Amino acid sequence: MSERNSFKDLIEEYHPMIYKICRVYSTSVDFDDLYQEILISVWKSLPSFQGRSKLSTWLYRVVLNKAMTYQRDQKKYNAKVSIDHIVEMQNEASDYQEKEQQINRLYSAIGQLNKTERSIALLYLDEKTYEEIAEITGLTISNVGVKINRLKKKLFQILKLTNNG
Amino acid sequence: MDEKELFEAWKGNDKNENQVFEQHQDEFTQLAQKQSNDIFSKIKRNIVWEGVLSIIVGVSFPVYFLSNPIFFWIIIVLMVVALLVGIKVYGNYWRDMKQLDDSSLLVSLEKKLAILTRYIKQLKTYLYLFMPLGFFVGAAFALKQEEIDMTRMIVIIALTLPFLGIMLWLGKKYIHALYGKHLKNIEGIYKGLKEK
Repeated sequence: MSERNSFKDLIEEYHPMIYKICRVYSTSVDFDDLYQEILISVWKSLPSFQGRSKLSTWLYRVVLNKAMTYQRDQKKYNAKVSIDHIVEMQNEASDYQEKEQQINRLYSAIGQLNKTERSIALLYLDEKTYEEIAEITGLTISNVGVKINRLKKKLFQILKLTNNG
Repeated sequence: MDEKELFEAWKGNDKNENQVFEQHQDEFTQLAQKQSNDIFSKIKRNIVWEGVLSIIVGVSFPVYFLSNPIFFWIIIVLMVVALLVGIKVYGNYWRDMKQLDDSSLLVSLEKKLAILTRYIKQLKTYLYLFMPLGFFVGAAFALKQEEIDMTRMIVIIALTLPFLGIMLWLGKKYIHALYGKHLKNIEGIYKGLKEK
C-alpha cells in the first residue's frame, strides 16, 4: 500500500477525533485552516511513528500539539467573521434541530475553556481512561483526576448559564 | 444537561464529521503546500527571513570599507566569523527541533520551550557581541578617514555610544517581535497544562 493510501486510511479511521479537536480549537471561520494544518502535521509526522505507543495515543499527541500551538490568521479572521455572524444568525432564525443546537452549545461551552483545559475535556469526552489521558498529556494520573473534576464543574456551570440565558 | 446527556451529545456528532471528511479527502496531496499558522512554523519562517536579511547585510556592509584594504579585511573576517557563529546558532535550532520525538504534550512543550529559550539566548549573545564590534570598527574607520587626533576620537566615540545603546535596544525588540512573543505564548500553554 502506498504512503498516500495509508495516510488516507488513517485519516478516515480517526476523522471523528480530528474533526472534534478542530471544532474545539477553532471557530466556523478558521475551522478549515486548522483542519488542513492538522492533516499536514499528521502527514509529516507519520514516517516518524515508531510504534512505542498506541497509534491513537500518538495521533492524539500530534493533533493536540498542533491544535494547541495553532494561531489564527487574525486579518483573515476579522474579514470573514462579519459574514459568518450573519450566517449564524440566519441559522438560529431557521428551525434548527434540537440535537444540533445541543451540540453547538456544548462546543461553545468547551470553547470557553482555556487551551489546555480544552485538550483534557476532549479526551475526557472521548471516554479515554485517566491512564490514557496521562499518557497523552504527560501529566500524572492524580493531576488528570484533579483537572477533570475542575473542568467538569466549569463546563456544567457554563452550560447552565447558556441554558438559562 | 447532566453527565450522561453530555456524552450522548458529544457522540451524536457524526453527520458534520462525515461532511467535512468528504469535502477534504481529495485535497490531501495539495495540503503540504499551504502556509502554516502554527507558532513553530511562524518561527521557522522568521528564521529563514532573518537568514536572508543577514546575507544581504553581510554582503553589502564590506562594500563601505572598500577604500581602505586593512579595514576591508578586518570587516570581511568579522563577517565570516559572524556568519559561522550564525550558522551554528541556526543549525543547533534546526537540529534540536528535528530530533523531537512523539513525546507527550507536556514533554514536547517542555523540549520546544528549552530549544526556543536557548535559541533566543544565543541570538541575544550574538547581538551583544557583534553589534558593538561592528560599531567600533565602523567608528574607527570613519575617524581614520578624517584623520582626527586621539582625544577628539575618544570624545566622539563617547558621544555616539548612546546610539549603540539604541541599536542594541532595537535589536532586542526585534528578537522579541520575531521570537519572544511566541515563547511567551508557548510558556502560557505549558504552565496551563502543568499547573495542579
